[in-house]
Amino acid sequence: MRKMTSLVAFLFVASVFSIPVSGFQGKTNADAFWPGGGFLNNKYSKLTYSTSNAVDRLGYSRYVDDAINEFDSISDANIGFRKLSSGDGEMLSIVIDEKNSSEYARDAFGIMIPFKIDPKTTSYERASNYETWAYAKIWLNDYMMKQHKFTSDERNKTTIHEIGHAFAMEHQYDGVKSVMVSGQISYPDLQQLDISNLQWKY
Amino acid sequence: MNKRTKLTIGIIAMAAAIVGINYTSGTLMAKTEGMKIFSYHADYKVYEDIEELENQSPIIVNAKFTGERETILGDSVTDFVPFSKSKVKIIKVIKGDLEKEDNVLVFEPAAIDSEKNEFVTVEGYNLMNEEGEYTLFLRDTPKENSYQIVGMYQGKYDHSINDNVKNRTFITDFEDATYDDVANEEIIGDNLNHFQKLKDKVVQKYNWE
Ligand SMILES: [Zn+2]
Repeated sequence: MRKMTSLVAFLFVASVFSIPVSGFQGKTNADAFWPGGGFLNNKYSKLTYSTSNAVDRLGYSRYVDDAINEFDSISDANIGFRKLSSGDGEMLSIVIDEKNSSEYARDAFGIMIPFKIDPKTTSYERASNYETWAYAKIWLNDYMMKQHKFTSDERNKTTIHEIGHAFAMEHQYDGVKSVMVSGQISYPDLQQLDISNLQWKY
Repeated sequence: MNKRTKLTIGIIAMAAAIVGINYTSGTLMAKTEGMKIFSYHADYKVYEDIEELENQSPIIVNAKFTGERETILGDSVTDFVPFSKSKVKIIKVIKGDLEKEDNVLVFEPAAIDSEKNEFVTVEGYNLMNEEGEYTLFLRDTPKENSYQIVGMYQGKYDHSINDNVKNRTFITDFEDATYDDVANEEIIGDNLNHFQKLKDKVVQKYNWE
């Protein structure tokens, strides 16, 4: 009984202070994804992507290759990739943030932004995370990762994290064992929670 | 206690938790004919407490926004993530190598794309305004006289807003809100609780003079 009472008390306190109660286990299945977001599901079986010259020049190819391989090797999931040259109609571009000082504007290691097609102009326009995308772009911020003295494992994690966003995965709560937690964290691989969530959706 | 009692208590507890969470989520504002909001998520350092934030901030100042702002947008929306260069006047130097009365540029991780009538931001950061009395946590950049805000929304606090942010608005980026609804808020969306936790300490420690 005492255990039960303290659980109730804990849940009550947690609710009052709005601690995400489910956070201790992490978000699973549909809760782990942006509702309505992402490419059409079947596009992920052969997701076309490119990397920019700066990705190679600044030594990020190995992190991108590793990260792509993490997703590609998930069993029981219809996930696959095809690499294209930049500008060859790829669905996902992975680039380094280094244009017009934009890398200084955000104290962030990476960001993924989705786009859709404007029916009037047929060019890309901004999409929200909660609608179907036509194209997505990942900006890795080499400047900030250097400022924060990132290790290889941390660079791996950020790269996997951003590609995770391209799979419509949303952030996990702090403290959960997942690449989708924000921060400077050493996860060189997708974690079990991430894998099972991806298997659920794809 | 039998299984059934345990289950009942469990359900009541969960219901209390859910009600609690929804309650603190607050109210939804009505839609107006304003700018559409795009708040994107980044991988960034989440500061546990003010000490960690201070350690990562070579410069801490009290500052006012001068009203001078340059919006940096690409030729196309896919070019780069838009941002703003905003001129602030230093009121007081708390830490670091700046002088009182200095005017410096601060890179803000948000921008108003007036041509498209869109507000683009990262992790709910909102732009400074001229009424605000700010404590800013900054880091130098390779650009002359230009500084970046440490941790985006975690590095900018407005002392002229005394309300707990939780009593104000809670709008996530998928709701049908426009920028008019949130223009005067310090932060938009999911990171309110974390922001308020840091702000309580900042306000306690750094008085606005
Ligand atoms: Zn993220």
